[in-house]
Formats: sequence, structure tokens, C-alpha cells
Amino acid sequence: MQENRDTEAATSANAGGLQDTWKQVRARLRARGRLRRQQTMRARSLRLKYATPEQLAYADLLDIGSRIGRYLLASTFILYVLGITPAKVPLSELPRYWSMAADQYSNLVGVGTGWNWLTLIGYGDYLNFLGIAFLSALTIACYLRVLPFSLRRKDFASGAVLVLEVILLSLAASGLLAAGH
Amino acid sequence: MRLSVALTVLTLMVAVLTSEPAMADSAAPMASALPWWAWVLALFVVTFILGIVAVVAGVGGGVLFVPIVGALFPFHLDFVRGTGLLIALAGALAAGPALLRGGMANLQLAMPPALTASAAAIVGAMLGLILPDNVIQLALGTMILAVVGLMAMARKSDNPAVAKPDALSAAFRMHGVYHDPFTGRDVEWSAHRTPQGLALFSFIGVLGGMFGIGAGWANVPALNLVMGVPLKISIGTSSIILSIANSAAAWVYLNEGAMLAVIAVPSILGMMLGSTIGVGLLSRTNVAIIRRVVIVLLLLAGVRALLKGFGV
Repeated sequence: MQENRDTEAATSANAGGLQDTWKQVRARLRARGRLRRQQTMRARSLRLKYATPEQLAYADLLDIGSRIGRYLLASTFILYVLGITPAKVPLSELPRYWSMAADQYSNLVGVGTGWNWLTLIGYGDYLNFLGIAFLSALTIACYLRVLPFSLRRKDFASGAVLVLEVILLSLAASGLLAAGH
Repeated sequence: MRLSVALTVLTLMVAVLTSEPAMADSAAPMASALPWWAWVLALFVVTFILGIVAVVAGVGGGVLFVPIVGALFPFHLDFVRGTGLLIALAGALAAGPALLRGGMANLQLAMPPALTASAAAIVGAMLGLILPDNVIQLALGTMILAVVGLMAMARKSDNPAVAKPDALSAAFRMHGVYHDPFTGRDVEWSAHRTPQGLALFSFIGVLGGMFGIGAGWANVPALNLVMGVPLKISIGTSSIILSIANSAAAWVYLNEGAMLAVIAVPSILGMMLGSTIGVGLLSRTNVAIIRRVVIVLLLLAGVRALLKGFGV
């Protein structure tokens, strides 16, 4: 009986000790979080002296997007080169073709123009196009991100430039603008 | 360290001069004596060196990549130009956030020139993919020689005087303030001669899209000398304009299949790694000498492109 009581006392003392430690850790984490938030706010207010809020919003999205794009580019390339994804044109045969004009190569591989490459996304050599397309599309996303700032400010001149640029980039992305030798 | 950078640049010069002509104008598939991985490895090494040299010499990676890789490697110029655009795009996208946050680039200033440059870059990219190879080689050679002239003779103005902003620059709010860490003071700036600047950006856009060389070499003087923007803001904003205009041209190249992952990805990685090393070497290298060597290197690459255009 006495033994049980001692064990309970020790357990509750331990629990109390753990609770204290946890409280201290929590307090430290909160203090650190508070400090970090203050530093971030201070840095942001300093940045706002030299950059507008929309410029910072553009930069934040560009930062995240370009990182994702680079990782996408590198990871799909590793899959391709290591042969984890099959290639439409085997790597060993590429030196026979890379001296051809782009349209000749596309005709030979049977890709065609525009977004047809999307149908070959299962192949490593075309899976890589995802990263390239992502990086190329990033500006459209960034412009759409800052458009509400211009409209809220009733800055219609900048808003018109933003809309025109989005239309232009979307037109280029659409594949409607055909070229070729 | 200085010697090693100079030696790598000299090696490149010899290679540009003595390399076999690229198989750019061949119509039929041609086999190469080297396996694919040897070319890719060589491409990575060359772009790594170009990345170092580009940073030390203060030029964009794309302007070195297209003429030099076009001269040294058996890849068709379509793929080289597509990759050149991607290199410039990846570099500009990576640099953009820090420049914008630090106020060393200005989004309002970038937007109107980027609009005219990207419209023109689409036209340039389409022209580049339509025109015959020898015409592109001749135009590329001529343009590289013009870049050399510009690099050798261009003036710079740290903080140009702008008496009165024009109506367009006022409408687009092309003004701001930046902190100069060297003088420790805030500098107010505004732009003028906006219509002339926009016309110039249309021309620059066509060249950038057609040759995939990026256009920092032309963007900076256009912003600085024509529009009266301080040099530091011109350099930073040029990168943002480049990222937008190159996005437009990159879509044309991508949709036309003028990109090969096996050329593009190692080049981007090599250039980025080289640039990182180059930043570290910057303070320990004689920038003036490297810049002169790069001018000579581009001169040789330009002459070589001209000769290829003439079928020599």
C-alpha cells in the first residue's frame, strides 16, 4: 500500500516536473516566435520604404515559384537521365538528331507543335518540359497576383499594362503563334 | 586565382577558333564520334566556366552561351538559342525576388518596357525559327560584334539628372527611392524620354527573342542613358524586364519543340554553379582584364558566326 502511494507521488512529481519543463519550453518558443515576428515586421516595414506592397507580393510569389520550377527541372532531369522514365528518343541516339532544326526533329519524333508535347509527358525527355513551362508561366501568375493592388489603388494605367501583358503571355503560351523553318 | 581564370578564358578562345564547324545547317541526321554523355559533360564544364566568366566580366550568361556553345558544340542553333533564353530566364527569375525586396529593382518601371519587349520578343522568336540558318548566323555574328562595340565603348551614369519626368512616366508612376549602401543615403529618382525608351525596348526585344541571348547588355544602357534611371536601379530592373520578355519568347521556342532537356538542364545547372563560384572570385580577380578577354572572346565568336553564315 505504502509502495503504491510512493509510486503515485513519484509519478505526480515527475508529471509536475515535466509540466514545468514543458511550460518553460513553450514560453521560450513563444518568445522566440514573438522576436521573429518583430524582426520580420521590422524588415518588412524597412522594405516598404523602398518597395511597394505589390512589389513585395510579386517578389514573394516569384521566389516560391522559381524555387519550385528549378526543383521540378532538376528532378525530372534526374528521372530522365537515370532511365527511370522511358525516353521518346533514347539518349544514346540523340547525337544523331540534335544537329537537326527544331521542326525537323519534331516531325521526326512526331510531336508536332503547340501543346502536343503534353501527350508525351510519360516520356522522360518531354516530362522535363513541365519545369520549363512552369518557369515560363510564372510571370503570368505574378502579374495576376499584383493586378488587384493596381485596381484597388485605381491605378488604371498600370492595371491596363498588367492585363495586356497577361493576355500577351497567354497568347504566347497557347501555341497559336506558329513558326518553324 | 587570377591566372586560373585567365587560363580558362584563353582555353575557351583557342577552342572557339579551332573547333570544327557546328552541324547547324545539316538537314540529315548525323552521328557524332562522342557518346551523348561526353557532350553533356563537356557542355556542363563549358557552361560552368562561362558562368564564372559572366559574373566576373559583368555580362549576362546568355550573351556568352549562344555564340560560344553555338561555335563549339554540334547542336543546332535552334536548340542553342532556346537554351540561351532559358539560361537568361532562370538567372533573372532567381535574382528577381532579392532585387525587388531590396528596392534595387522597380516593378512599376519594369512593366511598360517589359510589355513592349515581350511583344517584340515573340516576333523575334518566330522570326528566328522561320529564317534560314545562314541568315540567322550572319545576323547573330553582326549582333555579337555590335555587343562587343557596346561593351567596349558604352558610357555609364551613376545617377543621371532628370529635369522633368514625361507624361508617360508620370502616368505609369515610374519613380522611386533607393538606398545606396556605398554612400549610405537614399537616392530619389524618376524617368524621362519614356516613348524613346519603349521604342528601344521593342528593338531589344526582337533581338533577344531571335537570338536567345538575354538582353541585359542593351536593357541597362536603355534605362540608364536614355530614360535617365540610376545605374543600380537600371541593372536590377533590367533583370525583371528580362525575365518577363524571355518568358514570352520561351513559350514560342517550347511550343515549336526548340528545346532539348539534355542540352537545357545541364547548361542551366552549369551556369548557375559557375555564377555562384564567380561571385566568390569577383573580389580576387582583375575584372578589367577579364572583361577585355571576354570582349576578344565574343569578337572571335562573332567573326566565327559570320563566317558560318557565309558558308566558310
